[in-house]
Amino acid sequence: MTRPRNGTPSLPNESPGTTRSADAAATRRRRNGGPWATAFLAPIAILVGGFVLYPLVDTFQISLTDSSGFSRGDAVGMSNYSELVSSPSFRGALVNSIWISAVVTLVLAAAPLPLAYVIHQRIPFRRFFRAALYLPVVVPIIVSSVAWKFVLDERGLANYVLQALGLITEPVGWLSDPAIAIWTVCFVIVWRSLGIYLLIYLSSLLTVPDELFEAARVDGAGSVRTFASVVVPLMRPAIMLSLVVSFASSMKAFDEIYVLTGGGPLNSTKNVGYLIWESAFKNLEFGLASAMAVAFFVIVAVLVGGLGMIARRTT
Amino acid sequence: MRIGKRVAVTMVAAGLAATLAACSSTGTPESSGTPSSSSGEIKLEFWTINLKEGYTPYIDGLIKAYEAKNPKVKVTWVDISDYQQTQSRLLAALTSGESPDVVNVTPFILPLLADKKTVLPLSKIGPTDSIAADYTEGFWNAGVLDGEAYAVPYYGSSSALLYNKSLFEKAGLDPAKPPTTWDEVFAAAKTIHAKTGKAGFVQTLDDFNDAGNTADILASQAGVPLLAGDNKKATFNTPQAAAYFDNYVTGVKDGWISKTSINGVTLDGGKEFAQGEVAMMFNGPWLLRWLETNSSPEVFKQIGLASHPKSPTGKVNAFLQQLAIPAGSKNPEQALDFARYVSGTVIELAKSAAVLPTKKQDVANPEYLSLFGADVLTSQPIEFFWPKVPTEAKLLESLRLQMQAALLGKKSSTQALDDAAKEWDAILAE
Repeated sequence: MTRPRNGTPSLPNESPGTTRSADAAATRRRRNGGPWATAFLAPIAILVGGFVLYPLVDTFQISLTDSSGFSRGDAVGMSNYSELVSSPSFRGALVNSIWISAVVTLVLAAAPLPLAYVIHQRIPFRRFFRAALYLPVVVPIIVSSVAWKFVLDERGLANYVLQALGLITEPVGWLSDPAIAIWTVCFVIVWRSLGIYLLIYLSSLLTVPDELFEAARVDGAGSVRTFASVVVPLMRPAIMLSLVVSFASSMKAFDEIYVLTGGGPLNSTKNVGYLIWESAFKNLEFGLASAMAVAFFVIVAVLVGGLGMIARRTT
Repeated sequence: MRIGKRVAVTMVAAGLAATLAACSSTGTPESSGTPSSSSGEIKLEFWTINLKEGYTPYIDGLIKAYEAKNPKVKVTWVDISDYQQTQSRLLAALTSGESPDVVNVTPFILPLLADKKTVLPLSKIGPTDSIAADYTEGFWNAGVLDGEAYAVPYYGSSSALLYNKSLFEKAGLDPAKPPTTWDEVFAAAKTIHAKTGKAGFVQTLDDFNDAGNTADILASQAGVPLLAGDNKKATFNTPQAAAYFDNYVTGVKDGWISKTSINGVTLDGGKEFAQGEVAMMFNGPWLLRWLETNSSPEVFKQIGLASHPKSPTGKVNAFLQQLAIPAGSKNPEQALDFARYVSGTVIELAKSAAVLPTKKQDVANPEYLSLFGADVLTSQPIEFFWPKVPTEAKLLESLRLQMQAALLGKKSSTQALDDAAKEWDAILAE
């Protein structure tokens, strides 16, 4: 009697040869899921094909033309790609994308963990803190970005409060100083996304058996030691998941940049997503914008793939 | 099992068919858009920019009146809330074969749309000489590219001086005598900053403004032409322009020009003005309507309106909304007729916001002249200082970045303008 992976035993058959081939066919069917599974998967497969694969292929085709978006344009070979290689704008935007993603990813992988650990304890107002930290996630990005623009304006609330507290003498150019604006953008992205990663860590913490915390407590470990020696090692898969997801997500940042800085000052916050939008919809250079999108897709895929590999090895 | 397979295959086929049906456009350009029905009804789709909020009765009224005069025409109104979305929305509409018939555009995007052949030259629809004669020359010419008219002027505005009388008083300046030249503006701004700590004025570098954009600073205020006659070479990198822009560099550094000027947009400047943090800004009087709802009553009643400071050219930069007929329109003749009709309703619009009619007869109409702001708007000779080339957006962005670099002290005004001129020459040579 064979016992397939799903644990359902198959009945013994009279002929051993027939048994083997019948079993093999049954196993194949089970592995492939059978025609019903194909039928149920078909709609989503078609949707993925229509809305993901087809646009990808089409974008690549457009990237080989001088399309303005209004028409398919003429074939220009790889000239859009060679323009990218020599384009300081694309290089600058790529550096900004990677910089923003690196900062945001590291903060989002690290900061929510101690917060989740604290909220996981039976502290007063834990529900309030959990809701408050998750609130930015459900506020539309445009709305929160406009609010932050008010706060971080040269004459906004942030400078007013800091000056009133005597912490600064001159207003800080949160959005107008090229050296500071990129940090401001990172901060707003982190503020908006923190709740998601907090939730990931909180749900992951729920899977840690209470006995482990109890054992650590009996062994005399304090909160900090328990966090470092119990929580962090056990949360490694969740940390790795956060790293990969937040990296991929922050590479696509657009709304905050559009509202807060418009990519400025001096292109200091212009990332690849913003540059693609600008080329496609402002300058109507769809061919070039598509080439940027394809190149960026490959770069992000490689980086995320690398990160995923590290994550798998680490966990 | 066979039945199962058949069902499965049917489901796959049905799913495929449904998805393809959903993914396909609702029709080809030839068969869709705004077709006339078999009963002879003509459908027109009319796009405006940000006129829904506050102007719905005006638009509804003009559509109703037009439909009453033209019983076979049915107009559908679509408002696009952000002017920057016009291009992308039009792109989506045209590629899906759902072209509107009349689109509100601006001189910023018209050259590019015309270059991509997405809007019709009016001469392809009918003779334009008699149409041109109806409009103020400056406004009509804003839509003429390489000798072809591509748009009917809708409503316009010219820049004016908006100032906070209270801050003028606090600085010891006479609010009844606002600055009339740019030298006086700079002097007043310094005094206001020294006496009140507030910025004298804000002048952002974005494209939206009636005056406060890069092209205006150089071409109108400094009086330096942007391009040589053939539109192939930048001409603004002169010592005169650099010396003039040094005023801005010094002003931002010393605080008498708001730092929001560096990277803000027009309405960011408007917010500071509405908060009483800035004493002057340079916009069309239409902004007063926005200021009324975005400033406290105390600040709003202190706002004064005066003519735009005089520049060496003797003219002020103008802003314009135009009506173009997309190439995909199924009824271009009717669309043009409707566009001309709409442009003749601006006096009604001017009752809600201080804008300038583009039709000659309306500008001289006593009813219009009795409206708020009309005296300022009609007393100033206007000109469009923006480069009317398809790469306009790229050119202005390049200039903006270089001017930002100078304002941030990264390079001198001379270097910034030289670098911008080089970039312009390269862009124009593309």
